[in-house]
Amino acid sequence: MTTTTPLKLNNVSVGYQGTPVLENVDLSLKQGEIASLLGPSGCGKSSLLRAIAGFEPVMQGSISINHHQVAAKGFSLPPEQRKTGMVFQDFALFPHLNVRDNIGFGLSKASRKEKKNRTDQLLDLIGLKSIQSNYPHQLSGGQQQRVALARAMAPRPDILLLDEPFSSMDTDMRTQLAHEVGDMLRQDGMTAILVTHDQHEAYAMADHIGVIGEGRLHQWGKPYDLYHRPADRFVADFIGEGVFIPGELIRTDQIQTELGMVKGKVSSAIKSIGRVELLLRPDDIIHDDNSKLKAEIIAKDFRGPVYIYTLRLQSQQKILCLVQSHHDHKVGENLGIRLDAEHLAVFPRM
Amino acid sequence: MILALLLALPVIVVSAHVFLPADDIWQHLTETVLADYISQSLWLSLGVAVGTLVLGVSAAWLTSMCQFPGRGVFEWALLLPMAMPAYIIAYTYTGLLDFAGPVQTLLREWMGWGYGDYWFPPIRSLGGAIVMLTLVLYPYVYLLSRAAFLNQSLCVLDVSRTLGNTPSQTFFRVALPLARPAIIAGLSLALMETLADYGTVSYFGISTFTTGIFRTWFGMGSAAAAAQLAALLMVFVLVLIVMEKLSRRQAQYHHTSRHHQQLKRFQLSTSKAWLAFAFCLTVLLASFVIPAAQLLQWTLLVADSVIDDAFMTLVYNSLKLASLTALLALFLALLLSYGKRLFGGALVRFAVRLASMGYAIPGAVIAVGVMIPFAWLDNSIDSWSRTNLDFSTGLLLSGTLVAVIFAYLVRFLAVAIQTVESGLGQVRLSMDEAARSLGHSPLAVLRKIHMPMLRGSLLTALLLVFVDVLKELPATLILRPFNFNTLAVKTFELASDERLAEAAPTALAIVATGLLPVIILSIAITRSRQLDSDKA
Repeated sequence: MTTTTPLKLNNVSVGYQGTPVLENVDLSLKQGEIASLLGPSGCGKSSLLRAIAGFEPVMQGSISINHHQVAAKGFSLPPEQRKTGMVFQDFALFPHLNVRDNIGFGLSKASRKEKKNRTDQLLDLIGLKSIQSNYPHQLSGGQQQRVALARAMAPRPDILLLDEPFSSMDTDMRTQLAHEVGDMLRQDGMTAILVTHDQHEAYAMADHIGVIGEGRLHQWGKPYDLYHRPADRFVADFIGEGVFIPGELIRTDQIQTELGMVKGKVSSAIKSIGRVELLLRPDDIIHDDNSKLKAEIIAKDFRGPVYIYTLRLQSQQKILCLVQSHHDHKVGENLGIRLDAEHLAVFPRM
Repeated sequence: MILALLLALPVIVVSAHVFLPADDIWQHLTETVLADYISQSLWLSLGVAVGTLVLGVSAAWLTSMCQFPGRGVFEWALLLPMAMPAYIIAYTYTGLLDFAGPVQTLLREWMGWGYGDYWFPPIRSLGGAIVMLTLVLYPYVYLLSRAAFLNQSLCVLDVSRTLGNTPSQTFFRVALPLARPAIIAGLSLALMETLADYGTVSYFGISTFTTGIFRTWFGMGSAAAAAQLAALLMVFVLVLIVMEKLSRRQAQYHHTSRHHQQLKRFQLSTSKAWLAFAFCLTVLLASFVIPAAQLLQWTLLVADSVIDDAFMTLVYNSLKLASLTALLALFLALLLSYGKRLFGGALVRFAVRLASMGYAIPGAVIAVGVMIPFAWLDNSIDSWSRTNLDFSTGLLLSGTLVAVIFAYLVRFLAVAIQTVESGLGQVRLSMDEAARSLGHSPLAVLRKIHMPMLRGSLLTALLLVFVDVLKELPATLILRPFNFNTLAVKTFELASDERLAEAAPTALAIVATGLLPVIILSIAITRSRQLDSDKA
């Protein structure tokens, strides 16, 4: 079998009551790929997901699932005919059915034996076989979530859609759960899209991430690229921590900044020599006691293995610096620093 | 929309009559009895308000926040009086406490008194009516304020204690103000019932709006004047509706805390605990046990002579009316609720609101509002067919069961709508979507998700309407076809004729059926508490 494309979005726009909230989205997923749509709340990422599932129409463009067009302007295949699975924010487990029957709900067309096998397989996968006859209200939040996941996976949909599935969980559990869910999906060979506003969830689960905001898809790429090679200021701002410092582009690979000359490959978007802004991640600034360059510590944020120090340069410009946490300096001290930027994310100065 | 308008017709008709030219009967009314109607209705409402507040709130506080012997039983048993229609408790107590009743007879025997030697509170008085209505209506206040106390975050009460308030200060300064919206909502419901009551006030010979409407209708034969009285009564009710709506809206803001821990009830000292026990026991005895026991005794006394074919006809009539109305109400409620869920426009929502208005409107008012347009329609049809077809159709609608059932629907559809809607609310939209994305067509979703999840609410809706219809008195009295009797009507007629014992079997039948929804209610309450603790 040649490579299939379980999902393809072609110039899709979605919106409410005639007003588009998200426009011109192009993306496609390969078999077994797990992607994430990441963006602030209200950016339209959930609408896009619901359009893929068939609960909302597209205003423009077309959606294909497994090479069959399921939605276009003025056309929408009913959700039950699309072969998508969906995990909802509130899980939407059926309260009148037990765990086993919830999972088997979408297998009504399968033979009895197939249904039993698939349900058993999923119960094993989510590790809830021992409580298969419990009812949803008897389950913890995490268990409910696994059941919702298994229920959506049961009919082997062409694509699985997850709409903020971790938002009702404790914050410290989300990343771990996202990892677990990602592993389960991969074990079952599922192609999936996760919608979330939490980048850590997205990193934990997805191979590819699409950053959405201000009504469009800004960048589609691997987490590493989003962090180190953001396509625009929105992505640079939204992903990870960092500050923009002013600089002067003097050659195509050299920028003069307050921290000295920075060399590296500048993204092709910047053509002209002149005033720019350079994105500095906390790990671009390295603590070096021998450095002549000093900056005053004005705040520190303990993260366990590392500190993130907020430093003030002479020009009052603030920067972030990531330091091993055994280097414990006081607020008000001067810290010797050195610039070590491997990737240059440069934007025109505003 | 048309359906909703149709159901709002009685209210509209009655309101419209305010603007019709008043005939001299109205003139006569204002000069003679109107002031009486107003003042008596107001005094009655005031008395019942005070009574239900005292009984309802204190019983609610005791059973929800304090620990004393028998608390668990009282918790649900205090709801039992809801099964007792006011006119039934009224005539039962009359039988007990009148001059010839067992209580006064016993007193006379013990004390050697004769007639006129002593003073005994007259039961057939405004005060008596207040007590009777209070005894059966306090559960509304009890139910809602108890829910409010239970929902109050314990933290708030604890904070009050740490700030130096004693438990009783905490009650008055924190718990009571927090529960106020719920208490007012319960009170409004109790007062709506008070204003709607006809049986009790008529039996006790008190001139209120409802008795006035009956007298004007039957005695003076003036539909217009009766409608105008009804309209005036509706103004009072409207005030209550607004009061209830406002306080409910506030209540939403008040109960913000979602996780309430297991309540730690105040451990009362031994003497206080027995005091609480005695209080709850007295309320329960007076409001339910004693009258029910008396009814039972009377029933046993007359069972042989009363329970005959005629009695079975009554039962059959009542069951027929009640089940027919309940089924119709359920059907309409489903129609309206699904209309609202699927199309959800402002128009549909307004239509549902309009259709639910009837519940607050007294039965007598609805009856008048149904009678007038139906009679007009009948007369028009009749005269049309007489001129064109040369034969008289007679009364097609008014004076038939159609009118009675229509009036019931107007009055009780709200009950069905509310129950169905709350059931439908449990089926979250995402569940529909989950089922759709799992390959089920809308019809299959209805069958596999909605029906099993709604079954309980649908049955409850049926049952609630059924029991309400069974108890209904004033509208039935006005609208029933000639010589058509129901259990409620027969009970009332027999009691009015002072054949108290003979009225007991029918009354007992009504109370017994009325117990069903009360039991369901208390089971539902206990279960929801269990669910909470399961999750915790």
